[in-house]
Amino acid sequence: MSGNDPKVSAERRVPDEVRFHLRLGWWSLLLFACLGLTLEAMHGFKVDWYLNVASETRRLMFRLAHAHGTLLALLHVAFGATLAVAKPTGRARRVASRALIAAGLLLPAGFLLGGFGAIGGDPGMGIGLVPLGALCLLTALFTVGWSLRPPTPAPEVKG
Amino acid sequence: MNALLWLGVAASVGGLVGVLAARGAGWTVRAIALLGGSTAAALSVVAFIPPAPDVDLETRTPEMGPSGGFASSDTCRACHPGQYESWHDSFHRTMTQVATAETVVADFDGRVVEGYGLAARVFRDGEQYLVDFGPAVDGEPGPNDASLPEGPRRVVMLTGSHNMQAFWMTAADGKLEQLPFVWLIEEERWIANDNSFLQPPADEPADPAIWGDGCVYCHATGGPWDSEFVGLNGDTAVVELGIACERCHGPAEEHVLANSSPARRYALHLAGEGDPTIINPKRLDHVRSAALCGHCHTACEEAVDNDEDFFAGDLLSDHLDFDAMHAMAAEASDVVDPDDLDDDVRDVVEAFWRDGRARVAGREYDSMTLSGCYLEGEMSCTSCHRVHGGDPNGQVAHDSTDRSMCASCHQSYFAAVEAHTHHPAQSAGSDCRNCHMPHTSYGLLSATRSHRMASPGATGLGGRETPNACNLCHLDQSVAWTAETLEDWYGIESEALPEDRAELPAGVVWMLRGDPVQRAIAGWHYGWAPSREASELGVVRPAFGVLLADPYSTVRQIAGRIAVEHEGMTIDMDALAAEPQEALMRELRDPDPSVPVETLRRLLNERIAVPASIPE
Repeated sequence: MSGNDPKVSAERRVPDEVRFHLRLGWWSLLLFACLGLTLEAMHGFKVDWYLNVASETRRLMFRLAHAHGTLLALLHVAFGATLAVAKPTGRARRVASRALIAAGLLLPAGFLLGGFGAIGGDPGMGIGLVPLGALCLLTALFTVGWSLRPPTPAPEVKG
Repeated sequence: MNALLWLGVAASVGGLVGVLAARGAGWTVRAIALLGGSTAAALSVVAFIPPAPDVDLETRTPEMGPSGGFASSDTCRACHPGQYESWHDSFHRTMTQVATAETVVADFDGRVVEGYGLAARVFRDGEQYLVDFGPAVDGEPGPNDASLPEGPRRVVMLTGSHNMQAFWMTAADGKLEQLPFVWLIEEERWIANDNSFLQPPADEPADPAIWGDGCVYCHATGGPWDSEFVGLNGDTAVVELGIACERCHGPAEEHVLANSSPARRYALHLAGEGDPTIINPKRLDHVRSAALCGHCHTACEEAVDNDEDFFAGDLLSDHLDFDAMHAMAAEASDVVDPDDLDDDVRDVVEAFWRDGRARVAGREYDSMTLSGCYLEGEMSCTSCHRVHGGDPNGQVAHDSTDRSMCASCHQSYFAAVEAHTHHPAQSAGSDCRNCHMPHTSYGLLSATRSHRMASPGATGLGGRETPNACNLCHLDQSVAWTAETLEDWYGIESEALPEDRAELPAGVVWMLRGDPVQRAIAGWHYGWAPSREASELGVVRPAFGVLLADPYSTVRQIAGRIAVEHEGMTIDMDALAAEPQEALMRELRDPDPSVPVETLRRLLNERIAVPASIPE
């Protein structure tokens, strides 16, 4: 069985991860493009719940959810490509992957929930997810950046 | 200077880009590119240069901005966009504004407006609105008093945006003084300021109102309370013009600072509790809630010892002595000539009917607080009115009907409406307000509803007596008929009625024999749709015609407006004078009147001579 072959599974693990982020990215892109279309439709049909002056905060939150969701979808695609090309180290790869997945969920979800529960000029309680998501995103970005640093040259052995 | 500098820099950069783009081309192309680049860049900068501030206008209007714990409505907008918007749509916001092309609706088109021995040319010079009292009419000296300064004076501010606009201009000593002419918005015409008030005819105009002397407090936010204050422009500093958020919610600086912390805001949201750093009228008891409106919508100026500034949430009775005001009005209600009274007493007396109801619009608090609904119940202004979400006309809640407003306490009557009203359920006679809140207050060339909710009675035949609700609709019926009907339907017993007029149509009696306020209100009801439906107008028409020549300008204007609208008459409203309007009255004359001509003459000869003066 090739699955039990440590050499083969080590080679396939990377492509799986790449494929996972690419799939997640493209599907997310579709999802958030649909959200964008929905927001545009609400403009088109002059939906009071969305366009009312009192819904200013809700409108902002939904736009932020759309923008962050789309951006994070693209980041998943970029991360997948990075994994394929640059092959970061194992630990950094795992941390960045998990942090990016968490950010991709928390940031748009936080803005969406904040929009649904908006109270006057304040977003709903769901907005609390956003700082967590932002932390995850920063972690992912830092980890990827760090993992791609040039390798330290091995010290020369004299004599 | 800055603008010129930026213009130069932009033109140079644009030209350089043009030349670089045309690199290698001939000299002609390069020259065209240089010129095109410079022009395009300069034009784009011009588009972004803000207009120069109107320093002259700024120095002539009151100093404005947050101070004394106030934050201003702009600050409220960020957190309360919906409330800000509904307030922004209201006539409270536009109560007083700086005079600009966006706010002035009057025609400053170079015409000469005249009245009360004054003439003024109103015109524009660019963004400036100007008034010239000097020699203006075809180069001939105008009729103005020689004391009026010659030369154009700038109109810098205006008050009113709903019915009429009054204008403020800088006087020679720097005070803001009211222009003696106002613009009627719906009719689109100028009239003398004195003709917009219900007051006896006079040869000379009244002294002009001074902004800092009693006007600023109720027509701006954060202005001085003391009506004796006489300010020069600049020291009548206000937070903002018009009635803004902090008039009802109190100074908000502390609230704004406290809520810059999201943790605090979310703790309050979670707890579902009110914020103690701001006043929310919904959370006040009905007495304090009504006081928010009452500190302007009252005739009371009798300060109690503790006359510190009133702020939202205070008890108004801690600041104003309403008992003293009502006692003063009652004591002086039989006075023959209000001119014999001190000005302060006269202002109070003129504000009320004999039974204590306010007869002046804008004094709703004084009437409402005498109502059982307020005294024994918990009714407040916000029971019916909404600043946020109400129709800007009257600020009544969009979803309110007379029934929804009254049914919260008086549900039993609505189970069988006709049994109570004796009128068809869907008719004006079954609208609670028409019987319990008739239009018995005068203001702004119109009649407005009394806010003293009370049962109708057979009243109104004496001077300063409130015209009764039944006869304001049934103008053709007598007060005796009303007395009998009320006794028959509700067991209400009436006091003895004066025999010489009790059996005559009440509308005729009020229009011919009534005091000036009764005439104005009866005249207005001649044009009111429910009255026109319920009354046989032919009975009242001859008396109505007499109002076209009433000595009081406002009565003539009310009658004239209605005659044009409902009688199809052609009237030059500017020429409607207190002289027999034979031609006009002939149109309304009935060759065979229901009320004999001799009786009409007698009533006219007996007209109540007590003058009335309502500067509203």
